[in-house]
Amino acid sequence: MAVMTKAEAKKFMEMDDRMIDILDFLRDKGVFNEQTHRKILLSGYFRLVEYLEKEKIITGKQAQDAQKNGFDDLIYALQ
Amino acid sequence: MNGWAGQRLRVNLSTEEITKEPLSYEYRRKWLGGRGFNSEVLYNEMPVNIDPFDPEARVCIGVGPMSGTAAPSTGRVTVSAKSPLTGGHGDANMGGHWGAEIKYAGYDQIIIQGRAKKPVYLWIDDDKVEIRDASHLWGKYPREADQMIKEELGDEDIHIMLIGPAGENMVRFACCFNDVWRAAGRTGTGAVIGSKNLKGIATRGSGTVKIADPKKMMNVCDGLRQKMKTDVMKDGLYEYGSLVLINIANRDGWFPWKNFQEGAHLHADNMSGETHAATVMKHREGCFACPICCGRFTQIKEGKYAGEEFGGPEYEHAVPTGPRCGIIEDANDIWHNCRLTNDYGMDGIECGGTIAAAIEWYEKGLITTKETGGLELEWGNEEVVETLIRMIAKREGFGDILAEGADRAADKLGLGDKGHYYSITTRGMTVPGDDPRGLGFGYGLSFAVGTRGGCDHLRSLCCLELSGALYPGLCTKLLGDERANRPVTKVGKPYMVYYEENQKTTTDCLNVCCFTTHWSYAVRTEDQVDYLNATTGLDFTEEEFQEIGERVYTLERAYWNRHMSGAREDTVPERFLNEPMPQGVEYQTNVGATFPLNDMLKKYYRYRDWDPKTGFPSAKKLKALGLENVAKDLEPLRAKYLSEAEKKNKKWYC
Repeated sequence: MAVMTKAEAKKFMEMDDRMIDILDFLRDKGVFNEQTHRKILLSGYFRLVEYLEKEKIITGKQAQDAQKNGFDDLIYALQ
Repeated sequence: MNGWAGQRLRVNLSTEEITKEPLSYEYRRKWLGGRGFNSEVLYNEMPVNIDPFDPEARVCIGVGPMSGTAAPSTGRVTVSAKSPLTGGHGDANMGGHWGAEIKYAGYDQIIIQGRAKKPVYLWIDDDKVEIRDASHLWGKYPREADQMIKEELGDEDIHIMLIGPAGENMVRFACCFNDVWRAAGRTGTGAVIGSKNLKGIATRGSGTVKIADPKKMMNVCDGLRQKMKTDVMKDGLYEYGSLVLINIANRDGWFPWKNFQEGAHLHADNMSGETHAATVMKHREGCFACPICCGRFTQIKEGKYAGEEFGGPEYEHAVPTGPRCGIIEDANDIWHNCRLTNDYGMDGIECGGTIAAAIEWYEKGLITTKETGGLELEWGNEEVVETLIRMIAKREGFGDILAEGADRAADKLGLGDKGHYYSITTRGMTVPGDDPRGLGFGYGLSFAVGTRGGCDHLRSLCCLELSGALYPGLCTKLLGDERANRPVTKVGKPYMVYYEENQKTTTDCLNVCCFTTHWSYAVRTEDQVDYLNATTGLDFTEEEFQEIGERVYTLERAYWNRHMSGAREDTVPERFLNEPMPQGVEYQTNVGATFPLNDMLKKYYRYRDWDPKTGFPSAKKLKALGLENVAKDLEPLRAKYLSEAEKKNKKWYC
């Protein structure tokens, strides 16, 4: 599911450190609430991918790639 | 009760009152143990501006719910006090067997307050607690006092925490030991113990730790021990101890040669773990329940120090009074200096760091033989370094000034900003032997924001950039970017520091050794939650586990904020920011690097929800962590921190 534009994705791809920016972005887009934002931040990136797959924001294959390759693949899947 | 003993012991040395206080379920669940219990007491029980040497100042000794269990490496014990070195929150933890013994005696925490009229030691024999005369032990080295107490009590198997002569003399970076040579090194807790006329605490425990689900616990622990057996980091630690880092530090350019003037030296291998093991290592000694066994014992075999023996050294103990002071040619000089700082009972990092700063002040012409009492402070002069170690411990002459620590000494000598430039400190504490221009930008960031001053040593431990590359996929799993495991990069570092600090803080609340969880990554958060739940019978989640770390860390941050230490003080020694790393050896990988702190700091604040102007945690964050009283405390201080008067008041320490 496309939740970010190509321009937004490009901005995230260029960042050195992306976790807080992407979590804030997804919360502001209504993908999850503040409580989920906090849980994911405490636990780590893998929980973000798990959540997005569970909520069918990304497919199982995309989740698998995102778990293996990190933010680059996740951002690609989200645009 | 499962896991915890369920009570703390409080000893008032002024009134000789001894009390036992139950710890409620809510309290244990909120603060967990060890560092958490201690930090809570330091923040909530003492007036803000109390002198660390005031009789009413507390010394807290804490163990966690895992202490004394069969889980891997559960031998740590945390000692906390308001630091006489930094004036802020202080704590340090040590291995050995004392932590388990405290638990078996029936306590999760010991709080010492008051001041005895004459030197005493505490004898805890299960529920029997006595204050005993220690006049005959005063002035003794820990190894001497340990033996004398064991003979006096007629039990060779008891475990004893002790201070050395430096603690008695209130050297601001004196430390304490258990089992003779396991040191809680940093922040000067030994000086606070000494200020109370307390020589030590002898402990004998005959109880056990109740386990809620013994079968599950054994399964979890068996699995983790199997993992440890084949872990990629274990063999190096077992074979060479933490001295295994010497050759790695030299290759990657974070070896603190001459007070960090350079990051490598051609002869670093003289003191490497490999050389130590082949020449002076007598035997290995592990801590309680530890499958790694990284501890070692040294016996010097040649030269003028032949025959000297001591426990250790660790990397962080050996480099400050060695290469940081320009000593590298004869490693026996370095081992001897380690033996000396052990015997006197001083933090080797602060002692060596302060001497190195003094040598550089002398080199740069900021001080002369007039200030040093005739000593010519030159790099690599073992005789001078050895003399200064002794003078510091005894507070004699120029040593009395250096016994204040590098930043306070700079002020006592009137050296101004130039003096502080070479003291290589953050928040009044010299940084350990790890140059962030090579070890990594995550480490550097953790120096800047550390809640006990500039120290990663067994603290935030951003080991994902030290050993993360040996665990393929781990940085991706946790941080979303495998490139974060490269040290000299900003990629993923603010989040790495946030994550690792929380994780490590909770690990300190459990009093589990971080070498299983942050150097080796054999034991992960999910494993720790498994053994915690099997032990306590409770239902901790990974999020709650991490949140406890964030709560404790944030409380410690607030401790500093109450002393008007915040965003302005979040920095690292200017040398790391300004001076490009010179080339020390041909194969060095980080030539030209500087440390880009400011590019990462504001992002880090966002993870923590700290106000970028003050560096104070937001009220919202404090309330979310259940720290409503702290939110109330900090509210009037936010504007004060931004006032013109405070802006002019640059703090090197509190």
